[in-house]
Amino acid sequence: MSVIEVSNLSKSFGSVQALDNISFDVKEGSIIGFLGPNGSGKTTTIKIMMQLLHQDSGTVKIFGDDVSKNLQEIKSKIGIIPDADLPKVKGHTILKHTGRYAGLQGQALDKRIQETISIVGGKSFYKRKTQTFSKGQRQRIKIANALMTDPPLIIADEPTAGLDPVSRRQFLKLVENLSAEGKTIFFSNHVISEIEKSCDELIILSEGKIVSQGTIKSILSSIPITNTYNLYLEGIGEDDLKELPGVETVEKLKNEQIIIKTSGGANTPEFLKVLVNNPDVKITSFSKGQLDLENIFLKVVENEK
Amino acid sequence: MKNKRISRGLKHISILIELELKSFFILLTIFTFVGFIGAISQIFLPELLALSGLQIIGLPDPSMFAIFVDFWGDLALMGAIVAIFYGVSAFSADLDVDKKIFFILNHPVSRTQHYLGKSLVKLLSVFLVVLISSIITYLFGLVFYPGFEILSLLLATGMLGMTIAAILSIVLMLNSRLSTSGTAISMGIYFLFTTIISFLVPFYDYLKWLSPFKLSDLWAQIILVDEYADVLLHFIGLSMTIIIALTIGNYLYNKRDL
Repeated sequence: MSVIEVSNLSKSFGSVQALDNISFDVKEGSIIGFLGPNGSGKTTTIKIMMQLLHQDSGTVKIFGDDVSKNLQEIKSKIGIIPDADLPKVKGHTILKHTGRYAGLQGQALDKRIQETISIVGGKSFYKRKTQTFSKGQRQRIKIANALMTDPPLIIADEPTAGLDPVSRRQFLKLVENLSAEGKTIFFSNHVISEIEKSCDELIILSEGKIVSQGTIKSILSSIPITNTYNLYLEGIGEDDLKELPGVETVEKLKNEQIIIKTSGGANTPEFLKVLVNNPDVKITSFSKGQLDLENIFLKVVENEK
Repeated sequence: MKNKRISRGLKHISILIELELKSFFILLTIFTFVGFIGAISQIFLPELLALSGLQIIGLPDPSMFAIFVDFWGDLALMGAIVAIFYGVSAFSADLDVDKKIFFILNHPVSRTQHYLGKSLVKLLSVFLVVLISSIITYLFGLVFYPGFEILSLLLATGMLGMTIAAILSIVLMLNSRLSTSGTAISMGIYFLFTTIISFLVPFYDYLKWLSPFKLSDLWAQIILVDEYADVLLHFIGLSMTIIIALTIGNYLYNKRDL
């Protein structure tokens, strides 16, 4: 079942075409990464989902209902993490208000606040005023706020922005936990490497158009990918390495490390087989660079241009 | 479904009131203080002038009527200024200064519920601020001049005038871009416009209805000399204006991108 259905959505601001006829579906229980460089139309799409912006054409349905017709009911089933600063009140007050809209009061409200605060690890600061929060603390309160009503769908606009690596990892772990509970997570991001392990599917947006969509595996197989390998080896020169099959570039660093970049997707590199079978070559260290989603992303966007 | 919507709308208003309380009390304190100073100066001005030995030509007769008109005119003018400021900044601050709107409108409330709820809370707070500060100042004035009368009538009618200023400024704001700079420009243009109007009033009398500054003096005069029936007519007319302005404002607020 599709939780979000976006069909032929377009939006322009004057002469700028922010969204150009985009369509996508989000399946129930999935984690979707909505990617794109700054200004690609991610926030515009999310704002249209919440009807903070009105589309020029196209429709957005959430839980089968058109957002332009039945928004109030839809909003009661969504937790939003907006890319906006918090109101200047106590963190506790924000959560309390959200709970009250959902009909919580008294002890039930306090209990739910405690639960969400402990999920995001905000007990030490949530009663302070938001002006005194660090960026990471603000994000935690926003996340707690989105979880207050225990919604089946969470839409997040750049939720990891401003978080340190530890908090970022905690957030992504939280996303996985929420998905395991059956929740659907749709979140935008422009730091691609962060979401590699968490997302079921990616939607890549560039200049208002969807340039790629699908599982990471399917995206990888659809475009020429460069893989990076880090080696320490003896018995072969740089020039000979360049001649090996599949090798695109060879770079030798000052610490003697050799960086080899190959084309050809995620297959076992041919050059490695040759090296291993060469008795003159002694490999002392070998590691594959992280799957370079940044490169995938840039390639997809460049291909489109 | 309808009951659910009404209940959410009421919850929204109660939350908006909670958020508004701090600025309400700050405004109340400022108003009471200014009203207090205004009353003291009105009451003691002739004595102070006499003590200083200054002679000012054209000084109004320090009769009860003159004191009353000046006192009320000051309060009405202050109320109008605050009402304009409130009206112009009510929605732009949400969006531009602290982006509260992205949190508020993510809750299950419609734009109409938010617009009407916030407008009512803002207007009510302008009304209450001037009402309470006027009563405090009036009670103080009573100590010195126990002749003040018809106060409740004055307050009610004067306040309605202020709500008009607030509503007009909301409509004014909605026609421009919602932002802090837009707010400043709107207010600047509005004050410039009303200042020019004030200069033109002696030549074109009907223009007094376009300037809150002239209008505040006018209210004070009208209320003091009019009969109760005329005041009631003002009340009805002003209420209708508020309803029309809110309807237009709501339409514009629902149409625009945030």
